[in-house]
Amino acid sequence: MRKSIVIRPESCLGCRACELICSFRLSGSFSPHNAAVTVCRLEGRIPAVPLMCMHCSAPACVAVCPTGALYRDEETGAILLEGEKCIRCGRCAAVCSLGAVRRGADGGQMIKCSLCGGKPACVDVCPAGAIDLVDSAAVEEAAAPEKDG
Amino acid sequence: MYGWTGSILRVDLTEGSVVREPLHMDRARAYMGLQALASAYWQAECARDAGAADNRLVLMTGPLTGLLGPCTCRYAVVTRSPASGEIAGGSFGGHLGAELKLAGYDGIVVQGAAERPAYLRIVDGTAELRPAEDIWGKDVDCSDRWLRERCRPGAGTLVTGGAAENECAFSVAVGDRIHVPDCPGLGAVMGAKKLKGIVVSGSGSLSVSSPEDYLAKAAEARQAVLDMPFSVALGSASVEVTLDLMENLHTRPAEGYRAGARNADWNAPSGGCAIAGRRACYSCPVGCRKIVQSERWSGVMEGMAPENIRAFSRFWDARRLEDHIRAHNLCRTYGMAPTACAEAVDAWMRLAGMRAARTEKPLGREDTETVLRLIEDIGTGRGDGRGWGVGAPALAKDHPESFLEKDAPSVYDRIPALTPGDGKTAVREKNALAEACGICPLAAAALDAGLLREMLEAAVGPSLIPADIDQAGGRIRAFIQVSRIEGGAQ
Repeated sequence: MRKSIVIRPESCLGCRACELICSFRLSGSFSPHNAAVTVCRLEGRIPAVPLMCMHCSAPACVAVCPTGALYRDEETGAILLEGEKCIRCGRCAAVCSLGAVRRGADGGQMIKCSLCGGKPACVDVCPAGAIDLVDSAAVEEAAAPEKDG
Repeated sequence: MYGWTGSILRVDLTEGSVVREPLHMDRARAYMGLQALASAYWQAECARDAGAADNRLVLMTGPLTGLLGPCTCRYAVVTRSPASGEIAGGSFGGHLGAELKLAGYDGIVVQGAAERPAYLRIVDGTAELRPAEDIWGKDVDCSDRWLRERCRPGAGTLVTGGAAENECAFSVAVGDRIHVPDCPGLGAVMGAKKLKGIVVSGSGSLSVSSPEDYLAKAAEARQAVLDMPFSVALGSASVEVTLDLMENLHTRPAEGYRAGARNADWNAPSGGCAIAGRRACYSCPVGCRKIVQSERWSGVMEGMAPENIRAFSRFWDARRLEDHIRAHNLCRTYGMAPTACAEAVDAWMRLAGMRAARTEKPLGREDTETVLRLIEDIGTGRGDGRGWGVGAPALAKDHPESFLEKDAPSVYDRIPALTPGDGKTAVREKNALAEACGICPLAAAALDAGLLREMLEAAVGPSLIPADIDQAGGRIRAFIQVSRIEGGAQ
């Protein structure tokens, strides 16, 4: 069954545990600036918002990728990046409205969420339930416009 | 090397130089980090009667700071406080400690004094002093925003408010805009050195010796912290639980505060203010900093921590939560230690005849605006405010007849962080080791000694663990106490 990431900004504490575990899974070290999720810290009532790939139904990054390095995994529904095909042109980062595709801090490899093969580590580590994984069908139903009558 | 980056920054404000130098690894292995390691640096480099320029300001992280773990966010700042003449050490949460490690440094030693206001900007391997005339005398919010605009998003900051520049003896530096340590004098040292603030952003990475082992132990430790009753209490924001916490810590608030506290509830308090959310430090699963929203204010107030409510308990009971928050927020804005500021305002009111001498009776609602105005006068140095900024100990010395006896000798008594005061030496030593490694005192209380040692071993590796790791906590605790005494503590 396809799953979707759901973000609840009102629950986020801004602790950056998601960034830390994500970078650890990607590189084996703790490096928040090299994670596929970015915790955007704010002032005011909502302390922070985790920004990450929402694996859109019509992904602009896939459409602009000149080499086909970005593709959708049919099993999990995740948009994945095939590193060997990627030429690091940065078009995907330029078109993503969430800034969810980024270049690593060393200026090389593009980084984006792969849903950790269907079991995202950020969901497990979040102490406040600000990042969740739910059935895609439920998300689509909630996002669908209400019909009159 | 794991755990430590192996480098510190030496900032000479007189020369205007910023130089990277190797971390003293013998000291680091003996004292791990934070207050103990910072004290070791201060003691080795600074005479007890050092003047403003020779006085060192040492900022130090710990070997676990910056990793994913149970509140592994802490850093400490140690200097000699002009308020008390003692070594003043404050431990901070927030993000600056982790950003500093990610930028490649374990700590910063600041010496000398600048001719013109300056701030220290660290972005990865580039560290430089820059002019800060534009924000000299400005409050914490304004200065913090100004510094962040000159760095990368998400940077960590440590800034002083207007009180430091007004030579207020109990001024502090405020971490990440909301962390106000109760260590009077830190801001005054920065003010004397003309160092307005520090802003740090690091994009490096921190490795551990045994990654999967470390991750497993860190997950266990985080769960232990979440399961601890304190964490549940701090998350729920109940005043009643906060009071119980204070009782456990042997830091009893004033009688008037306790009397009215049992019926109070932070979620439905007077004045139409309520807890709207929580903010956590780096890698903290608890989030004890409250975001408070009020019908009377257009915005929100952040950063109220449980221990802060004690500061103004000499004026109001817990049902006057809004007054507590407004007073705390003024201290935060001007960069003043809340407890010492409350004492100074109390002294001012007693000596000026606005409050009866030698009484604990809480103030009436009509006096709220007076208290807030006096805090503001001290923070801004307006009118008589600059004079009252010398602090209550100095005032009590000249006018002992006006003060309660318990106020006079040790007005700068601090809450011993959130360390449970169960009197067991082993527990205190374990907590001391955890804190020296960079773990928040709250989380330290949740960890048992075995888990802490395993986590530390997995992080730094067996070669860097002191051979007498089981005695390290006792050594660290004793060293902090001895260094305070040698630094002039009574």
